[in-house]
Amino acid sequence: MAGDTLNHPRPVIELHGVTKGFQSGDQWVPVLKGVEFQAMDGTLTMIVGPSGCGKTTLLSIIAGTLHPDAGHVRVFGHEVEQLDAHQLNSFRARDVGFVFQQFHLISTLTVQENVMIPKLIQGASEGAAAKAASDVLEQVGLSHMVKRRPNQLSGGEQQRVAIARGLVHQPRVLICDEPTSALDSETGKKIVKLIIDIARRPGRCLVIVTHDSRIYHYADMIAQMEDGVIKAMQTPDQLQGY
Amino acid sequence: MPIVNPACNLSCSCSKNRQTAGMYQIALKMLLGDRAKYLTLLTGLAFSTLLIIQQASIFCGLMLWTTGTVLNINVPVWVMDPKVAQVEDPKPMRDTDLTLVRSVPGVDWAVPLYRGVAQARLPDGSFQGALLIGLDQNTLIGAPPDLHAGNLFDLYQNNAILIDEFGQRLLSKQSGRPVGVGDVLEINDREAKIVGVVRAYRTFLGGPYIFTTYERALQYVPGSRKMLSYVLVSPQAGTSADELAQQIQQQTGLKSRSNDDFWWETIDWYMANTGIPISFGTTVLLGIVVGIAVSGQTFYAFVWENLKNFAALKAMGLSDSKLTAMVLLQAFTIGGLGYGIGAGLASIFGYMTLEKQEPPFHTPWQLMLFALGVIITICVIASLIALRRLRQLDPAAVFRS
Repeated sequence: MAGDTLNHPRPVIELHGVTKGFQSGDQWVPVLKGVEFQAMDGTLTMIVGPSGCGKTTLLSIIAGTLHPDAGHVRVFGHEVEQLDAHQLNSFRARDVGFVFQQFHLISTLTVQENVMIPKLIQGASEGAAAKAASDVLEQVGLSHMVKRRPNQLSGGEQQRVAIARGLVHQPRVLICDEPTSALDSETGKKIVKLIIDIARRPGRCLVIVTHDSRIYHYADMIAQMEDGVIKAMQTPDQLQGY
Repeated sequence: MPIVNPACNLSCSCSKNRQTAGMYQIALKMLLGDRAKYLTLLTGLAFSTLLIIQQASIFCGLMLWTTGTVLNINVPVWVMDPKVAQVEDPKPMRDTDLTLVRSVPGVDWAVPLYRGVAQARLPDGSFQGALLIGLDQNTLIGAPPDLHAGNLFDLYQNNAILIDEFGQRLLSKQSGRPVGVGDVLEINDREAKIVGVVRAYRTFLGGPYIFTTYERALQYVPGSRKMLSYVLVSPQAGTSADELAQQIQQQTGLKSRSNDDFWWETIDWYMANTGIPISFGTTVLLGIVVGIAVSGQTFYAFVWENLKNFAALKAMGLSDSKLTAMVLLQAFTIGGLGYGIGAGLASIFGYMTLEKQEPPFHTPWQLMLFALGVIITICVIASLIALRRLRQLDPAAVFRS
């Protein structure tokens, strides 16, 4: 069944005609200008492009943290743009995992407590959340550091904690915003490989926004953004020379 | 497609309760984990509480001292010369005024009271100013009810006086030996034998109380045409003290006040005519300012510095109401702890001062409630300002560096 899904992946994230703009002083600045995008089940899709082209805004709309001005956003069957605030909270708590550029680990909590948060937001008991956190920390190779504080870890270790936190509640979408930008080249590659190893599987879709061309080859599909639209959806091989 | 699938119990009440408990724990760990800020907050709030309670307690203690005579005598109605503004400044009345008061309908009984200042000479030759209270010979109405040593009715003995505990300590200290029942003083060259020691509120004037009978008190002080300080009155059953006071005032032209009204009038006089309220009010205000300046700002800074983390929690699906509850929990926790420590320190200070009897210290429960209200208000205001920012926080902000 899983193999069947990988062999014949279905689109699980679909955006059609999505627009979004922001007021800046007296001016209305359009950021997304009719985005058409899709990502397949069990795949890793990278969104790449120059600064200011709208990558992060697109990522926020997929994650349900921003409402589009127009267009349709469908994520694993949910019409995201139609959800109210309460439904969006439930959607994000249950279906979306986040790995942030700046990690956003809470410095006063231990590694394990940080990782437990998405499970606690879901309403899991403390024991269940702690067990899930231990399991996923073992997967990212940090089971010996559960009691440490984030500021006692290296950048790479902090990002691994962030990945563990993004995956602890088994989300269907893992959203990663520039996950390698705060890391050196070698650590960055290891982090992306780790994400692929433990997170890319049927029933889940990975979306990474990145500037880092050294990790492009890990993607199944790359969406090239420019000036608020997706210019091309290509495989890494097709992207040579980008 | 439904948003909540059957496998997920995110919306059930037990799940919500677990979420609440879990996130409250996270909120407390966020607060307690940042030791430097936590201790700054705690110190600021505790210091603020200490200042408010300690200074206000001394103020209340002083106010009790100013009304010590009213509290010690404690009768339903006081009748006095119309020019009297506060209890320690009586204007002498004619003896016939007592009869006049007794003639007012509704009066159950009316007795005379002398209040004056006398010089007591100790056996070692030193002098001590004292507040001399002369009680009605027949009834001894107005004598403090709490006798520490001796017998009230021994006042009927020749030259008998009662002194208060403070007076006993003061006289013992001055004469270098314990002074008590059986010891003899001289008041204006007349012998005065101590027959009892009473527990009494102290007077603002600083000296001890000496209680004796009305007639004997008049012998102890230089005579003058008018000696009656107050007429103490009780209403008949069915008449309230306020009604009787009004009636006496109307019929006699004398000033008449219920015990409570006279107590407040005395306090009002000290408030209006001395710098006490300004002095203590300024310090209490300082406590509030310290609370707002140190704790309010530190708490606001704490929330501000955690905005990105709160945005991350919001992005992960935590609702605004839950975030609000987390911040309020942090505020009330730090407020409660700060208040507890501050109130504890104020109590220790109070205990120590009560042992020495100086400075005056009185902490009514209303004051504790007031201080708690101030501290909670500081925390709530700081939280509300921070929460306003939190409400406006866009969860997508977490993606911006």
